[in-house]
Amino acid sequence: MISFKWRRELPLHAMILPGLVLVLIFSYMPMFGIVIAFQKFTPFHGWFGSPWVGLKYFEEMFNRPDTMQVVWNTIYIATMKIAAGFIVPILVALLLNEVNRAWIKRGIQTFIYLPHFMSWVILGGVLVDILSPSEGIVNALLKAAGLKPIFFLGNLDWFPRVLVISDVWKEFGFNTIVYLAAIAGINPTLYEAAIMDGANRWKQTLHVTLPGMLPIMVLMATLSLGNVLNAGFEQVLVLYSPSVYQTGDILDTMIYRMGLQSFQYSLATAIGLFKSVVSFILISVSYWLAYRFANYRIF
Amino acid sequence: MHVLSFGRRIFLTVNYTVLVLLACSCLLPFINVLATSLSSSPAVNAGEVSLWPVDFSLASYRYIVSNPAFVGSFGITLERVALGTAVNMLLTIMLAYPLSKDNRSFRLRTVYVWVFVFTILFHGGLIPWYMTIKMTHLLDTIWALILPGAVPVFNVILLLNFFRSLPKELEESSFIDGAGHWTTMWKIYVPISMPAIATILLFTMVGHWNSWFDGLILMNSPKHYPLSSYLQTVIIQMDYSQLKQEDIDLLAVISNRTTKAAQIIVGALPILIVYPFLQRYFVKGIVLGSVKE
Amino acid sequence: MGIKRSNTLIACMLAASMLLAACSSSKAGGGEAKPESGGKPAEPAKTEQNGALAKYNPPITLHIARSSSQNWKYPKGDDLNNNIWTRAYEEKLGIKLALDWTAEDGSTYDQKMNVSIASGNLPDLFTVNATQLKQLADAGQLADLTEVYNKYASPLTKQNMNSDGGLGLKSATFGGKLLAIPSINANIYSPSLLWIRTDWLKKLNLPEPKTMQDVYAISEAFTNKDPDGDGKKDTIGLGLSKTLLNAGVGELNGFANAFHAYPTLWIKGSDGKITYGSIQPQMKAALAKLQDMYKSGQIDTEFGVKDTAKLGEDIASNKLGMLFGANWLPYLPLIDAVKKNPGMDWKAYAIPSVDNEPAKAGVAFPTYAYVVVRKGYEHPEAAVSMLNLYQDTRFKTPVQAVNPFETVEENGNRIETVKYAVVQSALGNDVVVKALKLLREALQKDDKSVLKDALKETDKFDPVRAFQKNGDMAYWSQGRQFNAYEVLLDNYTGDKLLTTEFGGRTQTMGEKWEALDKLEKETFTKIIMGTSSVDEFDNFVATWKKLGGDTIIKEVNDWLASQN
Repeated sequence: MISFKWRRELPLHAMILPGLVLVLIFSYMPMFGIVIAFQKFTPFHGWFGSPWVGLKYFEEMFNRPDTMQVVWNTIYIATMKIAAGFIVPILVALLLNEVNRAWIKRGIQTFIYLPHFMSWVILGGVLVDILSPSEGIVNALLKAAGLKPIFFLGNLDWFPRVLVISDVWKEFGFNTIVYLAAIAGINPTLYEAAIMDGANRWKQTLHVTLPGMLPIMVLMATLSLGNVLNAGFEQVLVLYSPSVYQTGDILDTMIYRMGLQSFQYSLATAIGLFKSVVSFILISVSYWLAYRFANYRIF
Repeated sequence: MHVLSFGRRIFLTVNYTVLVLLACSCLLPFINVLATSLSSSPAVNAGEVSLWPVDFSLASYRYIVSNPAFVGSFGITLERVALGTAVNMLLTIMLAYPLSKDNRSFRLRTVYVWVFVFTILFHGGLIPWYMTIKMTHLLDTIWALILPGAVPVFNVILLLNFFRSLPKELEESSFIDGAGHWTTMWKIYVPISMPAIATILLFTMVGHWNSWFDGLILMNSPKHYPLSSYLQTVIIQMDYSQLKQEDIDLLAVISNRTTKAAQIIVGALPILIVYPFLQRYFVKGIVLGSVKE
Repeated sequence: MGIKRSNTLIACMLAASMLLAACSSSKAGGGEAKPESGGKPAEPAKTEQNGALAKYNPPITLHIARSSSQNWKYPKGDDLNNNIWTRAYEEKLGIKLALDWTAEDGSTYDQKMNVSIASGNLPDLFTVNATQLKQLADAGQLADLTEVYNKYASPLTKQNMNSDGGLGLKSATFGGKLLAIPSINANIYSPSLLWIRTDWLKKLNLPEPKTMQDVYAISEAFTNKDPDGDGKKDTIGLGLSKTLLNAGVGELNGFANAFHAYPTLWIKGSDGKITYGSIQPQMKAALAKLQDMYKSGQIDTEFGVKDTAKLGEDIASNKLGMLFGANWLPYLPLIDAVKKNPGMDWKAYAIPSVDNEPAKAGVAFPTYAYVVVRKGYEHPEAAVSMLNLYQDTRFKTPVQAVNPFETVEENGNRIETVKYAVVQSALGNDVVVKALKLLREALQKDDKSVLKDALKETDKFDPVRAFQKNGDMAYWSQGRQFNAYEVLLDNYTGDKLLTTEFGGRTQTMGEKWEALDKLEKETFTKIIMGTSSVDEFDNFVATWKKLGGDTIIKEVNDWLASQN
C-alpha cells in the first residue's frame, strides 16, 4: 500500500525535481550570506575571517534618531499602498466585466496597462509638472473649484498620499489582469443557474463572480502582506526631497543613501533580514489562520 | 437581448465614463513621452511639449536606428525573453501541477510549497547571489539572466490556485482513461487553463522584458546588456557634481530628452503589443465549455 | 508581493546593489593569480628605447576592469578592446590588455566594482573611487606603488602629477605607501559662479554686480520689475535646485561663499584644526538671507522639487535670470534656452562678498578616481608605464594641434579618442591656469601661435574667436564659457581658491555620515523655506556634533596629522 502510494506520487516528485534543484542552487546557497548580519564583514576576510558582532547592526540601526520615523513612514505608506492596491484592481476588474462590447473592453484594458511600463524617472517628471501649485493641471482644477492650491510634493501630509495614489494608478491596470483571468475561469453554468433563479447582474456579481474570484483575492492579499516594509524604492527616490524627508523617507532610500557613503554589507543585510522576518511572520500567520478557521490552504 | 432597466442604463453610463477617464489618465503620460520623442531638443528642454510634438522631428528615431548599442541590446532582449519565457513556463507548469494536489494524494506538497515560498521572503543578498552565479560559470552569458530566476515562485502559486479550482472529476476521468500524471497535466490541465496560462505567460514575458538589474551586474560588458539594462544607463539621473571638464561635450548627449523618450517608446512597444494579442484567451466561457459534466 | 514583487525586488536589489550581503571569499587574501603570457617571476628585460617608456619583452598580459560609455564613438573598425590606445600599449609598452569587465561610467561602474571587491574578485589593474580605495587599502589588497612610481615615473609625469600641489598623491598615500595613481583634476574649474541674464540687466538698467547688495537688488528687480515684459509677476530672482549643494546648476555653494561659508567642505578653523564648513556661523547668516529672499518671493516656492531639467525649463520660459553654477552652464542648460529665445544672453560673474573681505571659492576635493593594482600582481610598474605613455602622448609641448590620441575627424564628426586610455590623469591647477592664461593672451593678440606652450584648452581658440569676432551664435557656449574662464583666472587663483582639506572616508563617516548628511540637507531646506526658524541652525549644529560629528572631526584631524 505504501509502496503503491509512493509509486503513485513518484511522477509528482519528478515534476518538482528540476525546479527544486534550481532553487537550492540559486536561492538557498546564497542564503548562507545572511550570517554576515551578525558579523563585522569586510571583503577578503569572508564569513570565516570576519569577527562576530551579534546584534550590533540591529542596535546601530535602532539607535539612529530617525529610524522609528523612517520605519513608521515605511509601514504607513506600504500599508496604504497594499490596501488601495488590493481594492482598486478588483473594482476595475468587476467594472470591466460589465462592459459588453469586446473592443471597448480590450481597448481600456490595454490603455490602463500602459503606465506599468513607464519608469518612475519619467513619470516623476510628469508628476512634478501636473502637480505644480503654480502651473499644474491638478491645482488649476482646484483653483477653478475655488480651493486653495496645494503643493502636493512639498507638503508633509500630502506627500505620502501622492505616493500611494500615483503608485496605485501606475499598477492597477497590470494588477487587474489576474482578476480578469480569475473571472474568465468561472464556470459559465454557474451564471446560467443564477439567471434561472432570477438573479440580476448585481446579484450575479455578488453571488457568482466575487466568490469565483475569492481564492485569487485571498492569495493576492496574503502575498501582498510581504510588502509591508517595501514602500516603493524607485518612486520615493525620484519624488522625495529634503523638505518631505519627515514623512517621505523610507527604509530602502535610507539604505540606499548609506550605500552611497560606503558599501555597508552587514548593516544592509541586517535590515534586509529584519524585513524578511516581518514578512515571513505576517504571511505565515495569515496562512495558519486561513487553515485553522476556514480549513483553507492559501497556497 | 432584454430591454435594459433604467438603473442598469445609469450604471452603464457611469461605468463607461469612469473607465474611459481612467484609460485616458493612463494614456496621457505615454502620449507625452511620444510627443517628446518627436519634438526638437530645445523645445523639449524649454518644457514646451505636452501632448503634441513641437518642431516635429524624427531625428531621435534616426539616432536609434543608427545606434548599434540600442540595436544590439534589442536582440539580446528578444533572445532573453524567448529563452527565459520558455524555461519559466515549463517550470511553472511542472511545479504548479503537483503542488495543486491535495495533501492526501501528495503528502509532501505543503513542505515543498513552503520550500519555494521561503525563497521569495529570504534572500542571501547581492554578493552571495553574484558569487553563486560566478561559481556556476554563468557570468556574462545569456543563461545568467535566465537560470537564477528560472523558478518564478509567485507565478507557480498563482497557477496552482487556478489548477486547484478545476473540478476533481477531470483528473479522475483522465486516470480512468489510463492516463498518468504527465499526460493529465499536458492534455487536460494546460489546455483548459488558458486564461491563467495566458496571464502567467504575460507576467513572465513582461518580467523578462523589464528586468534590468541582473543585466547590469552579471554582464561584463555593456555590449551584452539586455535592452532594459541599456535603457537604465540612458535614463538614469545624471550626477553633475563630479562632471569632468573633459566630459562637457557629452552633456548634450547625456541630457538629450528626445532621444531618451524615443528609446523608451521603441523599447516598450513590442511588449505592449503582446497584451492585446493574449487578450483573446481571456474570453469568458472557453474554459469549462469543453468539459463534459 | 506577487505582481508587485518584480517592482519591489528590483527596488530592494538596487538598494542592495549599493551594499547588501556578502559572504566569504574562498580565496581570502587576494584574487587568483592570473596566468601571464611568458610569465616569469622575475621582471622581464626592459629596453629603454623610448625614453621613459620601457617595453616588456616578451609582452605581458594585463587584466583590467574599466568604465566605458554607450555614448562613446569609435573610428571605423575600432572598439573598446582595439583602438589607438590599446595598440599603443601593446606596441610601445609590450602590454596586452585583457578586459575582464567594463560597465557604464558612473553609478553602474561603481556598483559593479563594489560587487567585484566584495566577492574578492579583482583584476590586475582597475579604477576605484575614494571609498573603495580606502576599503581596499584597509584590507591590504593593493600593491605598493611607491617604489615603482619613484623609479619609473618620467619627469613630465612627476611634474604634472604634482601640479595640483601634491593633493592627489597625498590622498593616495596610506601609512607612507603610495597605493594608487590619483586622477588629477584642476580645481580652478570647480568654483560656483554667479550667472546672470545680461539682457535683463540692461533692460532694467541695473549695474553688473560688485557687492552682495547689488545681487539682492538684481534679485529683487528680477522678481518684481517684470524683466520678461509680459505684464505678469511670474519671474523669480534666484534659481535653486532641489539638490541645493554641489548640484552644478542652481547650487547654494556660491551664495554661501559670499558669506565666507563653505558648506560640505573640510576647512581650517581659527584654531588651526580642521572643522566642517556646514556647521559654521557664516552658514547660518547665508541661510537667514535665503529665508528672507524666499519669504519675499525671490526664490521659487517649488525649488524643493526642481532638478536641473526643470530649472532649465524655467530658464527657457523666461522665469529665471540668476543662479549660481559651474563654468559649463552655457552647455547645460543655458544654450537650449538661448536657442529658443533670441536676444537672451548670460554671463558669469565673480561671487561678490558680504563685507570688505573678498569672497573665496570653496571647492571639493579635485581627485575622485584612482588607478590601483592588486596586491601580488607581478608588474605593478605597468601602471606607471601606462601613465607615462598618457602624459607623453598628450602633454608634451608643443601640444600637437591634431593628435590622434585625443580626437580624430571622421566623416565630419569629431571622435574623442582620449577617453579610451586606461590610465588617465588630467592636469592639476598650475598647468591649467597657465593654459588658460595663454588662451586669453592668444585671443587678445589674435595669434594662435601663443598657444604652443599650452597643454590644454587649445581647441577653444577657434570657436571662442569666432564668437568674439563675428558673434557667431553657433559658438555661444564656448564664448560664454570663456568669459567664465576669465572670471576664474581673475578671481580664483592662489589662496582665493579654498580646496577642502580632506577627501577621504573615515571609519565613523562610513557608519554615520548618511544620517548627518540627511540632517544637514533637511535643516537647510527647512530654514530656507521658513518652516524652521533660523535659530534651528544652532540645534542642528549641536545635534550634528552629538550624532557623531565630533568623532568624525577628530578622526579627520588625526588622519591628516598622520600624513604630515
